[in-house]
Amino acid sequence: MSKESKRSVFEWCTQVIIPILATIAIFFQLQQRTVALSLVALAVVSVLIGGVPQVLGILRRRRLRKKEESVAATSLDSLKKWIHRFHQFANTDNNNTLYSIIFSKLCQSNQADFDRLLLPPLQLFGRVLGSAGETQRFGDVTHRRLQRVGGGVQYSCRLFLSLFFVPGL
Amino acid sequence: MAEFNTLVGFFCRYFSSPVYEKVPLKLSPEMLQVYNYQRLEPELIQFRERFDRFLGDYMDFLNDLDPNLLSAPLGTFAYYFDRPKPLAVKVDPAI
Repeated sequence: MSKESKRSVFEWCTQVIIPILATIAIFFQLQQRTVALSLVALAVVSVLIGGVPQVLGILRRRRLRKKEESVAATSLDSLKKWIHRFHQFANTDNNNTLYSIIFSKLCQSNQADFDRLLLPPLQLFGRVLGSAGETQRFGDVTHRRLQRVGGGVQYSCRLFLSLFFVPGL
Repeated sequence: MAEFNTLVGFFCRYFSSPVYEKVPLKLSPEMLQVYNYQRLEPELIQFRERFDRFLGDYMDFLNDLDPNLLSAPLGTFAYYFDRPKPLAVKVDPAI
């Protein structure tokens, strides 16, 4: 007999059979008040005992859910740290990022020179990551913004293709 | 997680790797002069080292991640990113 069916038999006995038998017996023991009250108490206690596994199950599920929430919160914190670290490489503000080296120093902030390198506009990455670290729903925000980055990447792919036709830049 | 991986992948594939493939070999002479004058080589090398370390750590983090914690599986290629290659050649500053 499985654990599940054992439990249902236990619940069936404690919550249905015993209370019904006790109720029937009460009708035969109405003259003896003490015995009748004892039977009522037996029915009530039986129903309560039958509910114990359900209560334990609810408590166990609640404990597991809290544990899962705690693990999820820890993972989110960990992911935020990685987002923050990546932002250090992909932002357009710091002077030690690749964008700064290429656009500000190599291209002297000249957009035409930057375009000749056939690279995607890096500001897109900075914008995607801009507020990502502050939001709980990074996925939703990033998904929308990635669609915009996708446009930029398509642009860069076209530029890459043109590389074969403009050798040596 | 998947969205962030996509973002990192885009950055590696379409920005950082192409930069290290093109600079300095495929620069125009004018830009090559700027490259030498501004002494960008050490900065690019330094950036590559930092970024490569980040990618290595992040890939280790992804590999060690418990798949049960993810709402959706990441897929095989989500654990690998293009790492920028070392700069092609050392350009003579006299050029």
